[in-house]
Amino acid sequence: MERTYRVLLVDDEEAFTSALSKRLSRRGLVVKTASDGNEGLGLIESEAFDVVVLDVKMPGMSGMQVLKAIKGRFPDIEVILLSGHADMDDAVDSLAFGAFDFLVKPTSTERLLCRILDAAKAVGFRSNGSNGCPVDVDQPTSGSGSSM
Amino acid sequence: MFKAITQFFRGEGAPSPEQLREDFQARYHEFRMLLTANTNALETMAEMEEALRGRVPFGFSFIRSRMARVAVQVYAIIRHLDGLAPGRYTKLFDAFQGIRSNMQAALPSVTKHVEGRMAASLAEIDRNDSEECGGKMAHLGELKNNMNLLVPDGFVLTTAACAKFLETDGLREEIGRLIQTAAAESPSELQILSSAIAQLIMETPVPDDVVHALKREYSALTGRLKRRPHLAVRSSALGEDESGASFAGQYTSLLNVHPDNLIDSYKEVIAATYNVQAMGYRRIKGLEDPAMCVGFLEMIECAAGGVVYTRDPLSEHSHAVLINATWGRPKSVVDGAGLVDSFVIGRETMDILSRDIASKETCEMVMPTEGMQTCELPPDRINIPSLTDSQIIELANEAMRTETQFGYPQDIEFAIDMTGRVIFLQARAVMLTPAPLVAQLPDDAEILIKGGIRASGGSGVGAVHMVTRRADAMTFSPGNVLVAPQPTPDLAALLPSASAIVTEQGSAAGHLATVAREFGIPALFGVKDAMQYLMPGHIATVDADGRRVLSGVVEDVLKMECVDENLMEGSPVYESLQAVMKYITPLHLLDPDDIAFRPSNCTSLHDITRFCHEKAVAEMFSFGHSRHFPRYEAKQLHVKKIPKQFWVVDLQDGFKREPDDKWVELGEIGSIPMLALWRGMNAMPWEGPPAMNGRGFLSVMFEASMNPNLNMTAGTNFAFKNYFMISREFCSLQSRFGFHFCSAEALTGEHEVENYIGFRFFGGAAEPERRRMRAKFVGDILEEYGFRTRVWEDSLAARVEGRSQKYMVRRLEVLGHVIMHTRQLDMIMKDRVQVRAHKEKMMEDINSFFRG
Repeated sequence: MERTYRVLLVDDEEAFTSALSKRLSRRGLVVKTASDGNEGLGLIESEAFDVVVLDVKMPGMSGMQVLKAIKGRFPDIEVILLSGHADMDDAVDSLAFGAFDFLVKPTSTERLLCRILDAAKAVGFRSNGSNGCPVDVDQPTSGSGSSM
Repeated sequence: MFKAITQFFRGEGAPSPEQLREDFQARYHEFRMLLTANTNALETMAEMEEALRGRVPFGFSFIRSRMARVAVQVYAIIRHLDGLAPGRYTKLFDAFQGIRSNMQAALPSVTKHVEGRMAASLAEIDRNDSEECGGKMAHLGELKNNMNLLVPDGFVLTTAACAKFLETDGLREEIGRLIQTAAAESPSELQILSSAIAQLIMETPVPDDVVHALKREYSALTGRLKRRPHLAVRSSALGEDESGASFAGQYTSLLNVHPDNLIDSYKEVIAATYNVQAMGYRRIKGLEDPAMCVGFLEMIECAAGGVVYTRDPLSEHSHAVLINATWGRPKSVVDGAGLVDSFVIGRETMDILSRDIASKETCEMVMPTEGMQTCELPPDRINIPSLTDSQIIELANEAMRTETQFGYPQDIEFAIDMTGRVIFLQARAVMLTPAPLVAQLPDDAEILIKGGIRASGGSGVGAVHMVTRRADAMTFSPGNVLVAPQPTPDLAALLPSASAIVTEQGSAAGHLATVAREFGIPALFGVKDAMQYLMPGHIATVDADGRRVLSGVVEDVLKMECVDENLMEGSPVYESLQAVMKYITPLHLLDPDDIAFRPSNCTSLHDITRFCHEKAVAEMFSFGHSRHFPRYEAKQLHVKKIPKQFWVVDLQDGFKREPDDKWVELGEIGSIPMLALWRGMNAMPWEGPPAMNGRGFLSVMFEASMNPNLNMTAGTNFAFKNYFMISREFCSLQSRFGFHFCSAEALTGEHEVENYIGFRFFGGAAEPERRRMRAKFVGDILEEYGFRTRVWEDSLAARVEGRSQKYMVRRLEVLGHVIMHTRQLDMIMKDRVQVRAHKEKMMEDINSFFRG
């Protein structure tokens, strides 16, 4: 029995978040959206989330600032950053600050979905009061490569 | 993380079995994530290695995006290892930082461009701006600003503008919805979808910011030119620069557009992103819908125009520059229709080697109001060369400079203006095909057709399928030989899945020829009456190199292989990739038992991945070792009480009975996949290393002596260690024999759709070429049994999925045998005779115990 994962999408591009949100919901995830960092942080304060997907460039707080804020207060939440530029330093720095992954846009929705699911499962294993479900030996997530 | 263990060591009391199991599962999840990140990192490295072969062009943005990706993947691996063993390998982070700085230093620095602007004038951009302006316009900017070549003045509406437009009224979302809900398989269905999207786009208003940016730039343009020019409105898509994709003619250029119609033209070009050919092309290449930038360029009044290829597209070894030209606009040359002048110039000498002047009857001219028209040429122009000698030499010279600038042979569109100056309209990488290799035909070969023009090289075989009407396209099957009256662009959708194409008309220039070369589909055009000599449904072999079509399957033709040539070598962008790769792919850490196998000796990302993989396995299997958690301790496998070099960890229900002590009898193993692997591994005794020819053994010795990381002291290198993690239907194997590694994972349950076997095999001590051959050898054998394989460098990945438990069990037996019997085969790999003999023997052996 798997529990339902909760995902927050934070991006000022509404078309992007609504399309992604629909696909994630179809996979059984509970999805909320926010259009900037402040709104996102506000939602995180009031509701529980497993995974947050953030755009690096947003009006107001940047993705990195939001990442640090989240990791500071809720270290167990996994954060995935999305950026329009492939900058190695930005990418590695974000991981050093605790991001789960850093993806360069455009990225295939399938790939993003797989990473979100991987992140959610990682949270699932760590959380308090998990109900002792059997070992998760289902098929490794496809798209981002098998665990081979 | 791992609360229960931490609690225990803090003396807070023994964890309950529940907690312990959860911690163990979390740990195992961490381990699998590390393996996934490892595979992903290796795939990215393989992609970069492939680019280094220089056959497919790439730019700086390719390098940067892969650098970022592989760095992230490797960092994630280190983090996962840290998760498994907190604090034990912190030196890895230092090693990683060092490598990362080296990588960054290896690339020329790039000033960051302005963010989020809606438009940019051509004077402000160069090739580094392709992410913002699309490949076509960025290249044009490069020609203008960094090479001082003449190009039309103009500007581009950027990806930001396109994004803004697509946000309007939920346009992007609506397009997505249309695509999702359409059943768009056949060309006619695709056409309906395409028209619907086009209509939607045309009806959506362009946002104010974009309109203002457009007007501002146009105003600036008129200021510079002192007149209000008509414009060419051209697509400039993202990804044209990167992926080696030609996108030839897939998008749109609108010529001679009146300034009052720029907004509608903008929308029309964006709508062309979704035309049938473009959508079909992207579907086949597995590409996402690109952001579309749009270039606005002053129309040049053309006295003449054409195309320059810095290498003959049909023979990449050639030493000539080719120019095709005609009077008026270059369009007729680009389209591949009509008769054009052809000039050949030596690449090094810049001598004009030949002039082939055609009887040019028509030309494309600009109309005063809007649009283009085809005009008849006055008789005195028909047979005169459309270019003067000095124009030819100038074009050839500048084209060669462009090739050097971009590091790859170029396909350049140009115009001669009314004052005789050379103006460059577009520059992109040319789609090349290797020089023809003509096979000797067997005596009984039946030649159906001879002649025609080789538009794309190679050979293919399949059932003949004639396409004369739309309906015929719908019955086309992949692998057919496509036969048509003309090479029309609408055939582009079928082409990539055809085994070959033959047309009665057409030449080597033109869109379809370019697409054929890009996909490597053999193409023979201009074969008079081809359709009369070929019979629908019959099998035919098309030999484009030999310019003939033969009846049936002619092996002698089909097995000719072409030699690879590196076309980018020496260029700045190629050298940058080489410089960066020095810190990514070379492997220095080869022997895990050597004391040199440490973080401080990791000088490449690949070193880090090998190190982490090895240590992760060790960490997983040392869990529970402290005797506190015997349940999760690895048990040594015994077979009839004899200890084997196999250790087993039970994840859940892999043992029939909980073992009492530190070993487990084979008979107590209840894991279906593990037992299958075991049977395969033991079906035949391993006879020891293959009889090595002297050079093979010397190769290993040489490598070992030259490579300080390989320590040939007896005993350590032939360490044989195997670790299984099992449950009843699942098994994971990490195996090592000396320098040879393999990693396997399988699920074999009742639900077919969930079943899979994944296998990775890498390492060896022989020189890289032999290791590569060995990987290919193993891959070939596995393919015979239904595995999908991929070989890169010395590494093989194989996979099979979605089959019944019985099917999977048989494959695991094969795999077990292969794992056992391909060790050290790299040592004999140079000797073709032995390799072939070995393959035959192995297949025989496998078939003897393999009952399908």
